[in-house]
Amino acid sequence: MGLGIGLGLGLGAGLPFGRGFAQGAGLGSALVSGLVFALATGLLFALVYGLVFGLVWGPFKRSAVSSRLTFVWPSTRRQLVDFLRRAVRGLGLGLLVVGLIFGSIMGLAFGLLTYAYVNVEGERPIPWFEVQGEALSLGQPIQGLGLGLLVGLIFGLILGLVFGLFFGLASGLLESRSVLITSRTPKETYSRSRIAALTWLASGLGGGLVVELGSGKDWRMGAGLGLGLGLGVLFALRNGGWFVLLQKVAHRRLARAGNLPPRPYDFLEWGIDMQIFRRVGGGVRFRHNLIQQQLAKLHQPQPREVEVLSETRGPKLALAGVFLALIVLDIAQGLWGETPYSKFGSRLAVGIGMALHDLFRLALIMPVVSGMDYLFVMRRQGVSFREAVFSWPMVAVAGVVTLLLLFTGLILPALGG
Amino acid sequence: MVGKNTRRVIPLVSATLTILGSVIAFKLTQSLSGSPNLPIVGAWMAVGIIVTYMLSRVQARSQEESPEAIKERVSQLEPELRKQVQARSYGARRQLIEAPLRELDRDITPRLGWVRDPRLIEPEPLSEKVADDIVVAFESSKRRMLLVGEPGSGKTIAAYSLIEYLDNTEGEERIPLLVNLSAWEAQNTFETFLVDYVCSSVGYEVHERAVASAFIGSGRYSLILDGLDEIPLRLRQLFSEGLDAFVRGLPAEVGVVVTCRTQEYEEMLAAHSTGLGLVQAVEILPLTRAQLDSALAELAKLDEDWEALLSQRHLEASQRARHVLSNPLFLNLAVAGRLHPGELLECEEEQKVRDLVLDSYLDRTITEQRQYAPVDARRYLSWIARFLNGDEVSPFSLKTSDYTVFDLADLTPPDPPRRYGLLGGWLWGWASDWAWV
Repeated sequence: MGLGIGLGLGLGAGLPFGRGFAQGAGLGSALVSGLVFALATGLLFALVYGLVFGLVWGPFKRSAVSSRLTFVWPSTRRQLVDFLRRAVRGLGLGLLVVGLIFGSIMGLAFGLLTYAYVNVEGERPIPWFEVQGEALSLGQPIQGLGLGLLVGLIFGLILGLVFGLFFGLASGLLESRSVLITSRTPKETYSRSRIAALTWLASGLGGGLVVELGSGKDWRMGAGLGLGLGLGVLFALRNGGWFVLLQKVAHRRLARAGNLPPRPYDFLEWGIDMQIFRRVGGGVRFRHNLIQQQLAKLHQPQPREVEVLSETRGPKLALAGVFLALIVLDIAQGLWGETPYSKFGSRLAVGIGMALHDLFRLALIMPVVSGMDYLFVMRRQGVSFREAVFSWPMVAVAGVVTLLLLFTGLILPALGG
Repeated sequence: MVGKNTRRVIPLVSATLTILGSVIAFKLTQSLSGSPNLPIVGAWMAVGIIVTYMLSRVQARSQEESPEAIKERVSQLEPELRKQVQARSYGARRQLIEAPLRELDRDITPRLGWVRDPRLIEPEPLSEKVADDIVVAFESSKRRMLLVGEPGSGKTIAAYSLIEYLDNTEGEERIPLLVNLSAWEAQNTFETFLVDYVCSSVGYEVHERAVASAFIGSGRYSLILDGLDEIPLRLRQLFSEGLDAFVRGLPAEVGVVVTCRTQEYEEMLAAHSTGLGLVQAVEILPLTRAQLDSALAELAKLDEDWEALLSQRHLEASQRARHVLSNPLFLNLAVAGRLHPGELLECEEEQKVRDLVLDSYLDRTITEQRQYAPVDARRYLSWIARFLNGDEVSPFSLKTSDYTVFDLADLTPPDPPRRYGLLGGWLWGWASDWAWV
């Protein structure tokens, strides 16, 4: 993970730095310098991130199902004391370990880079490093190194402080359970994974916001927020996020095929209440194997998919007709309508161009309209997105849009639009 | 083995070396070149901090895995496991299939019969009086018993009775450990399977494998292995060999009970004449004519149509129905499904009687609720049953990991598919580019 992040950041930060370094030289030199810087910076970041995340967050790298993190909101005095204790410990860990390790290595890296930069930059001053009001220049590499170290260390410590704050908050609210067995219902597993993922995401976003608000004007707008969001998503995915996401995908596909209801956890609980199932560990089993075999035997092929296909066949053909009509009418307009060209080939090209342009607009409008329709109306009725797109109302919408596209194309020029 | 003091000294030495080394590097470079070389000092410090921290982490982890710590956690694990076993066995018995007939207040405890097998060691003689007592049968078979019977004859219920007995009599020394054999995945050794099972989500969800392994190695349990017939046919010989080797290494006081359907047991015996080193096999027999008459007479008090199965017992249809109902499961399901006795007499084949009982039970259960449309509920249940049978796969093309336990976590892979990872990487790259460039 550290290597991935490091190389990602290295490519992001190293390329422009290398480009700046080789400013004024040829394109080839700039590219080579940029890549070298990217690789060097990337590997450096990879080392730092690998060590920091591998060591500090190592204990939290658990799969979602076996995650032992529990969200605890401090409601009693004891819980509040525990929360504060864990939060302070988290803050200390974040500040000391992340800040110190990160700061030391970043300081060293910045120092060495500045040292190298000052050594080779020549007579030109370095605008962002000043000593006693004057920009650094050739002959002052040691000062550059010192400043680089200082800046890196301060940067690392600030980062450590921010991480520590949120790490402390997260470790305060997310308690590691001490019990050896964590038997829970499937719904509990899912909701705990979701809470853990959302907490990490919120912590990342919060951290990013703090960096954003606390950073000076030198920072690019939204950079802190982007960093926080990226880290938040990363940790959220690693701490239950993937599990929740993949489960969502699986549930949706099964519900769409009519194999399971949209809320399968409730269905399993219902089955237990109805004494069709009994709970076994994190799952359920039929009360008796004979019942399982009887149900399996009575299975009939799911007709829903076939129904959906046959239901959407008509609208699909109609929509294809609308698209075809638009193409034909646009080409006809190009050939026989008003254009500044007289040659057949040019007029045909104009027609095809208009058709492509209108097709693009229609293709853009349709998913937007059907997406809104799906989100606000059809989803509640259990209609799939495909059914929402290929439906008769959408044929009507596409027809009206087509007419408008053609109509505006004909009328507006006539009106001088 | 590293001692406690040594463990404390190592990071201390590392931290001291980091600080001393930094000072020495500062002074040395100053004396050599006239001015201190800060990069060297910084590098030394950084490496020192990292090494010290890594040493601390390694020590913390090794401390967690020390024999004393594991032993302590095993002792914490045992009461947790006991609660789980109770909840899954005799604690939940009232919710099981036998519940409906409790209201009839009739003794329909299945009888036991010996399965004669030349391989088996001679059991203690058993008096006729206690022929329906599973506990006596267990003790007379030197605590190594195979329990066979037709589907629905009450093997699992009998096994739960044994668990209750073992829990009450030797709870301080050993835990009766209930294991569903459907989770068997042809592990190299039976011990590995038990550790896997104790750690698995369909088992007892113990998160620390070292603790689970230590518990299994301790022998502080009796094994109740339910559902040998649920192991796929091709794996049964391997299972039998693995269990034999494992049981031979167990102390004599550790009880081992295996339940299996009669037909599957006979098939296994025919295919592999050696194996399953248990002392004796006990078969759970169907209800006797008197037991069935008694139950039907009680049912006739609630619905007089049941009287037909008593008064018309000479009819072939009645005999078919009575034969099916002599199985405790089917008798319970017929009562729970409020089956009309006249329907039973209309069936022309015994299999149709069985299907009718099962269908009426499912129909009644599904129609007496408003949460799901009956047709939908049946379709969902059917898909789950087929998924467990291996006839359906999840949307990620995964098959079930256990042929009897349905776990929603089985629908998705433990790690995201590669395309998801690539998408995540791309998003991360985009976000980092946005942040840093």
